[in-house]
Amino acid sequence: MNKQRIVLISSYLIILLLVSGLRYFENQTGFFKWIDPLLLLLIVVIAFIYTMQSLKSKNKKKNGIPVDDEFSILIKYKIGYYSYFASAFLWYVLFVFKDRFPDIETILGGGVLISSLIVIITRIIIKHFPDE
Amino acid sequence: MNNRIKELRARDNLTQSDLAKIVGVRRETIVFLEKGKYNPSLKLAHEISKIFKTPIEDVFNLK
Repeated sequence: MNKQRIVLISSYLIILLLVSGLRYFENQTGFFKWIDPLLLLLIVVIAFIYTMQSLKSKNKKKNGIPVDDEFSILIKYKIGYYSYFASAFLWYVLFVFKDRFPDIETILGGGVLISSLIVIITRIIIKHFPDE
Repeated sequence: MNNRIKELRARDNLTQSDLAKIVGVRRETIVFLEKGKYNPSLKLAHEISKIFKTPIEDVFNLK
């Protein structure tokens, strides 16, 4: 499968996780009622960005510039590694303290939401400190 | 790790994009290398020093 497609699909999966998490919270608390238009905008913006990036990558390939190299691959591995362990720890904590949540939906929604946020935050941190 | 990539690049009149294209990496990689935020693989370090016709230990050195 084309690498760009993998990036696009995984980005949408992350957004899907984020949206599902927010949905659960909205259903439970009514706190995120204002978020619907924002999410729609977010999805449209990301679709636009990745379409542009995909076109850019095609041009880069044509000009002999690699789309991926040792540095970008290292970053991807690190993001996957750290976010996986952080998410695993998060789920562990959620299940340990499950009695403190009103119901299972809140736990699942919160877990999904925070997992997706972990991926985004890890990406930002790793990009700034790739060799730390 | 310190490196003299920026200095050698200026000496040879190469832009970051030029160098990236020659050694087959993305420009972002060269940016991070120059900032000292990323330590290259041995292969990439060799390729860079070969481009500048400078011994590898003169391009890269430990702090």
